[in-house]
Amino acid sequence: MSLIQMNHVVKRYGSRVSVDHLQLRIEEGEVFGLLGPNGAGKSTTIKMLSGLLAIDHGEMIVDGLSVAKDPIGVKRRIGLVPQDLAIYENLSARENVTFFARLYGLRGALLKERVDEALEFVGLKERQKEKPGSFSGGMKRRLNIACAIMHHPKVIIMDEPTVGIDPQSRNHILESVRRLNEMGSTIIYTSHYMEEVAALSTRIGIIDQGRLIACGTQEELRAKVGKDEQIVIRAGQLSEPAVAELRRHPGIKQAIVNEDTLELLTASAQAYLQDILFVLARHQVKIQSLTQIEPDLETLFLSLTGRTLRD
Amino acid sequence: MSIFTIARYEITRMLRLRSVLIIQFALPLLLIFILGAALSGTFQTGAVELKPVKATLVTADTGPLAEPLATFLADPDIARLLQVERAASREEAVQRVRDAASDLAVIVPADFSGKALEGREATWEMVPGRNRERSVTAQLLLGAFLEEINVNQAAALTFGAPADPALRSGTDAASQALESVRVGSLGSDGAAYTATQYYAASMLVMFLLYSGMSAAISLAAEKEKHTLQRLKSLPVRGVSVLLGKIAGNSLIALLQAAIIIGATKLLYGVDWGESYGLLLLVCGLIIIVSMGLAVLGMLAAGSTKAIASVFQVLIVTMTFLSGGFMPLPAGWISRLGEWTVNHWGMQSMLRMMLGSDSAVIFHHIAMLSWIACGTLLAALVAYRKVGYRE
Repeated sequence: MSLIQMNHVVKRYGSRVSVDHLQLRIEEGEVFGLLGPNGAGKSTTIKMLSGLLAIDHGEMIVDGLSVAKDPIGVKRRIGLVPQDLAIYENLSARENVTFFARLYGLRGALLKERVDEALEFVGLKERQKEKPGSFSGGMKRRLNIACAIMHHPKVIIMDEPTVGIDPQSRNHILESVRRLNEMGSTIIYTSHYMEEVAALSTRIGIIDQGRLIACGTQEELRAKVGKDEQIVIRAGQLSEPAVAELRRHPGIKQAIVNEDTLELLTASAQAYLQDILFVLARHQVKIQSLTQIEPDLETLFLSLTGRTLRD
Repeated sequence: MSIFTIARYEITRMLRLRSVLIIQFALPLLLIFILGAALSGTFQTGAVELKPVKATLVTADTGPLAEPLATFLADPDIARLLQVERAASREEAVQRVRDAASDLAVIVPADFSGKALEGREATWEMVPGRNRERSVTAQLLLGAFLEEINVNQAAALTFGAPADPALRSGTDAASQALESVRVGSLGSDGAAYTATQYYAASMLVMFLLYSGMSAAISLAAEKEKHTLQRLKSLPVRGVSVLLGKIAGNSLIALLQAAIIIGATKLLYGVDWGESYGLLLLVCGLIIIVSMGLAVLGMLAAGSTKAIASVFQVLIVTMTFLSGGFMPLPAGWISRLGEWTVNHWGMQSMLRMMLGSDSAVIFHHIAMLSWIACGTLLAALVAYRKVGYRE
């Protein structure tokens, strides 16, 4: 039996469907990456799984417990690292972790041991007496993680934990995720940074407009793209007739314009490159750069939705 | 247990905020001192030495009341304070007032006795001088005669005594007719509060309401800072988060009340009365109202800034209407003040300070209890409808 099961989960906000019949299984010990553009429904899914939002339809089960029927039981098994920093500025780092640890029911020597462990884990033991006001953005993010892991949860949910931080802190957090997984926690990691998800996850789910449009290991997902290749062209002035003509070309599957960049998905870059250059030259498009990209998750998302993850 | 933990950390966090320490602990003591010292004259209840004043009398009334008036003015106690000179005409009397030779001109019309004895409205014309204090003193002294006439006339009509003899012979006949009426002086036992006592009570009520504002801001800040999301993801019942925060803020408010009461007693010598148990009950009821308003305010106004504005306006308005900034004369404003929690809270405390009858004190506490129940019920209904979430 899977550790986490989501069966036909639906969440509506008025007439807008935020999560649309989501079906998903996550096994124990996995690092599951949930990938999708902003507004795709990742955070809503996470909030429902954490018991923060009511499920309109369907069911979510964590470790055999229904989120709807036994939310307290589910919450004991989960550690949520929210997208926004959720720490108290006028409590010290140690007081922050201790406060949340007490609410997880930890007391006495175990409480002290777990708080020490969590602070050590995120590298804030030396600065445990300081208040977050004196911390950098990355350190605050690490404290945000410490507040969610001290009770050794079975499932750690990280909702975009690296937003707005420096590369060094990002690497620290990514390394923390790997170590938490090695220590036995199942991780659900949401991000719209493809590279992070690709680097961490054992399996990846791609979500768009509330629907799970692809799910599997990186190899399985790459296989779905097949041998499609991506060509990215930067040009001075991309004319609409040129793009329209490229879209009509039988060898080109997708043509997306992002300001002065044209992203093309084709079965073979080598076979059709000459045609592409010919069309652009005929429409007097001046090319500044041309890059051929190996198929990746971005390519897959592009081929499935016709949009990029950054949209 | 989670309520206790949340309350404990709420107290820690609140007491670390400089604004809370200043607003809830330092400012009330400072304001009580300033207002108590600056407005102590308004509350002066001791004997005041009156200086003699002058009045010019023009009387065209030769009726039955002319003699009692002359007797009244000749009374040594009155004559010591009111020196009356007679003038021939209104113009002459008014000119004397203009020249500051007299503090008041009094013109008694010819039909005064006739009207008064027939039970119709009978008035004197009084023209005040430049010195308001001296004019008012003269008016009050002469007003005493008119009031005596009124009392005698009413008594004679009520008890069936013939009006004329009672009035003609002044107070003697009236006294016989008024055997069953005891005339006394309100407050003659000397029980009155000082300005510091008055403002200690009003500021205590006001700042206990401000503790509700702090609670509302703290509740809303959990939403704004996204810590509520984390709290809700913990194995804690949703209502426990709200109750824990309210409990923490209520304890801070109780501490605030204890400090204000203790410090004003020790530093300013404020006498809070004998019933500290009842005083605690009154503070408790005001805190319930305050926390009820905190929940309502937090649910109604979204941001911390909006909450602060709404609470400021509400608290200042209620304090003003209840006479918390300065005693208000009887009228529609003071009647409006009876709809505020400040009125019942402050009056309960003042009654306790004066050692009033327990029935009077309990009446005020009962009214306060009704307000507390109403606010609590409204907060409960609003919470069930809206909920406390981001």
